Amino acid sequence: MRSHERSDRRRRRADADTAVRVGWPVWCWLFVLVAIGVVQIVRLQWFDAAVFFVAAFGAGVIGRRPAAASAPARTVSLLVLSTMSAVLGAVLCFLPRHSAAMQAIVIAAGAVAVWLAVFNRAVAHPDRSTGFGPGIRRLALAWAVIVIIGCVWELVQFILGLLHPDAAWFALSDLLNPLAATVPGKIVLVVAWLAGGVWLLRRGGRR
Amino acid sequence: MIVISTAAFLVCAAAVAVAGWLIGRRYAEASTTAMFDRLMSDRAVRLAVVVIWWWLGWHFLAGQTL
Repeated sequence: MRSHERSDRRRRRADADTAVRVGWPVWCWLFVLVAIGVVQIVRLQWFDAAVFFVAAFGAGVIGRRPAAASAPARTVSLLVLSTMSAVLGAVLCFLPRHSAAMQAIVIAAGAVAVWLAVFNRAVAHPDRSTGFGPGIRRLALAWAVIVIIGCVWELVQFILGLLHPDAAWFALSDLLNPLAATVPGKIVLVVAWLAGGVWLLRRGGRR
Repeated sequence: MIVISTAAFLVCAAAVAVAGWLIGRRYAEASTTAMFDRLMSDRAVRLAVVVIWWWLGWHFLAGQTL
């Protein structure tokens, strides 16, 4: 047996030893990503579908890797994150919706956000323990049920729109798009989106 | 139909807020921030949530999907 084959086998064995079983919460989120990807295929949005399938694959791979023993040495502070978001928001407000420049900048912002999320670089308190007591469980269950009901309604509107295109069915996008087409609506959308992103990127902690 | 659909989404949004308020009154630790801290403490879930958040911006601002 050649030396590189032996080292490959050793590396695979070491990877198997350190791999973590993917828990059911991660499986639920993988299902969500794949389900959204399937809906994008039905909508004939191939780029959007690819994003969700690649994200599902990436989340599956990450879910099998053990968590880092300690928080990263360098994290992005709230001030830096807020400043970056404010500059980005100002640029987005001036760019026409659905333009090539808007697409390029939103993709770049997404790449940075994914990097910050995967490498744990923007969490406010990365070493603080996160609880999962009865209150959090009930809140999570209540939110999950309500969000699933909302998603089912969205899906029903979308499917009815496909089956009966002449009738008026209103998915959330159909309701919000006329508002986003106005200047104040677009500003509110950009601010809400970026504020939500900053808030999400700072969430996390230790299990 | 536009009124029914708008009302359905508004009811969902209100239900999320009311559920947070009611459960938060009974359990002091049960805040939206604490729930998301727990949710996002898993890297794979964090990636999934951030991608979904990003797609919302892409969908409404950038992609030719509307």
